[in-house]
This record gives sequence, structure tokens and C-alpha cells, in this order.
Amino acid sequence: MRGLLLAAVTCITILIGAAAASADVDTEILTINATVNSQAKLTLSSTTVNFASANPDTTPSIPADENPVSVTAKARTGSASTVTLTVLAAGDLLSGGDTIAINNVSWTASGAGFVGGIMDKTIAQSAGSWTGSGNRSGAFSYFLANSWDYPTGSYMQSATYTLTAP
Amino acid sequence: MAQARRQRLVSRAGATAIALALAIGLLPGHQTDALTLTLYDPVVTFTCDDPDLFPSVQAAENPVRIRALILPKEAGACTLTVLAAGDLSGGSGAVPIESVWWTASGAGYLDGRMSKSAPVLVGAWSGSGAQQGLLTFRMDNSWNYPSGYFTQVALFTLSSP
Repeated sequence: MRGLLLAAVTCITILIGAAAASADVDTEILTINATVNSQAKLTLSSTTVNFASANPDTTPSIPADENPVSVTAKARTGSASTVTLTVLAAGDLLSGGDTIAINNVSWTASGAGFVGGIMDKTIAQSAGSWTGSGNRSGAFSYFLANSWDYPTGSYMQSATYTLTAP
Repeated sequence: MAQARRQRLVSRAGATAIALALAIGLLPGHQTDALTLTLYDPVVTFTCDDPDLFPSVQAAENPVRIRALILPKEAGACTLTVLAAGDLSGGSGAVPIESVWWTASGAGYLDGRMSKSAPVLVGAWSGSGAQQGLLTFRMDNSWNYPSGYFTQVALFTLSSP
């Protein structure tokens, strides 16, 4: 009799002990997924540059009135991918039937990754390159090589900057 | 006769033990947890486009319903925390997990920002009941993130001391 009661009490004790060890904790897992899309955005503080007429002897290189032109190149790409900025002129400087070769226009650059160069109407010229994503700022200063050989006139041309984030 | 009596006593003791177990709810397959946490959307998804236009982005699943069920036996101080297993990881790099944050509604629920270093408090209660809430998840956007697909898990833990 005593043994049977002891067995019952033991059984109950074990069960209560198990109750004390029951869950005081519960958990849930949240999965977070994110798609980060490639992006490219280029900004120039001035989209027009003007070169005033000047004496070629005293001003062999004419700076643009708008210098320096601030440039911002924002790109999002793979961490090892190369971001490039190039420029390609649409042709020579034109004034009616007169032309000034576009490669008389050059620029210098400041800011990490930005590079200077000479305008070209055939091959896109590098104006900057970087590795991976980022928001890069710099400045371009434009110059026109002056010459007594230029026909007088008012010349114009456009150049396209292309920022690529693969 | 004595043996039959002993057998009856054994049966009664066993039945008593079983009855108590049922009352406590401890028989295998019939356990009742004192704390139950439910996330009604266990996956949240972000799409990051132009950071200038979208400095932060919302999860597609917002708002995410959450419920912390606290039974009376656990009606002391209960807390809900979350800890991420790491940064958002993908083939092209990683995005800091701290870029993910939430605002909360519902009694006891708190706003917060994901962390992989230490659990972040999401809720706290001192009584029993079904604590319903809504978590609205957002992710900071940036030009500095690598492009690609990233994922990570975060463990929500409801506990009482």
C-alpha cells in the first residue's frame, strides 16, 4: 500500500517537475529579403559652357565662363563592377559653314575618380571611373585653345556625357 | 483478495496521476505552452530603387501582424526581443542589417532598428493576455549599397524570466 502511494507521489512529482521546465520562451523567425537595383544618375551644375572671344596672344587658352562646373556621379552596381563616365561630342564647333575642331576644347578635373581630357567627336573620352557603388562629386573646368586662324562667328556644339553602372 | 485490492489501488494511483497530468496538460502531445508568439508574415521584402526619390522603402508585406499570447501562469514581466543573424548578405556583398527598422502599434510594442550585435526590445508586458500588434518595416536606401539580392533572418524571442 505504502509502496503504491509512493509510486503515485513520485509519478506526480516527476510530472510537476516537467511542468516547471515547460516553455517560458517562444520564438519566431523573420526572413528579410532585399533587392537593390542598379542605378546611375549624373548631374552637371551647368549644361552650357561659353567661351568669350579673346586675343590669342594674351589668352592662348580661354577658360569657360562657368568654370568650374560641378559634377555628381551617383551609381549603384556590383561591389566589383566598374562605373564609367564618358563624353562624346556630336561634331566640331559650328558657325554657319565655318568650323572649329572640337578637339580644341579640353577640360581638367578634380575629385576622386574624375579625369581630364580632350573632346572628341569620334571616340567617347573617359571623364571618370570608379569601382562599386557610391556618390562621387567633382568638378570640370573647360578650356578652348585660342588661335588667330579661327574664322569669326558664334560657334556651338553639344557633347553627351554617359554614366554607366553595369 | 488482497492482491485484487492492491491492483485496484495501483489503478487508482495511476488514474490519479494521469488526471493530474491532464489538468497540468503535460502528457506527450498535449503540452500547453505558457507563451506563444505568432508572426503572421514571416517574410518581409524590400525593393530599393533611386535613393534620391526613395530615401527609405517599405516592406511589401506591411503592416506585419504579431501576437504575443501570455497565459496567466506567466503573467509576470514578459519581453519580446529580436536579434538578426547578420547583415543582409548576397553574392555581390552585404547591406548593413541596421538599415532595417520598424515602427510599432499595439499596447506594449516598441519601435526599433535591427541589430546583429544585441537583441533589440520589441515589446514588454506585465500581464497576461493576447498582445496584438502591428510592425511596419522600412529599410534605409543608399547609393552606397551594392546592387543585387540580399537576405537574412532575424529571431524574435518572447520570454519571461
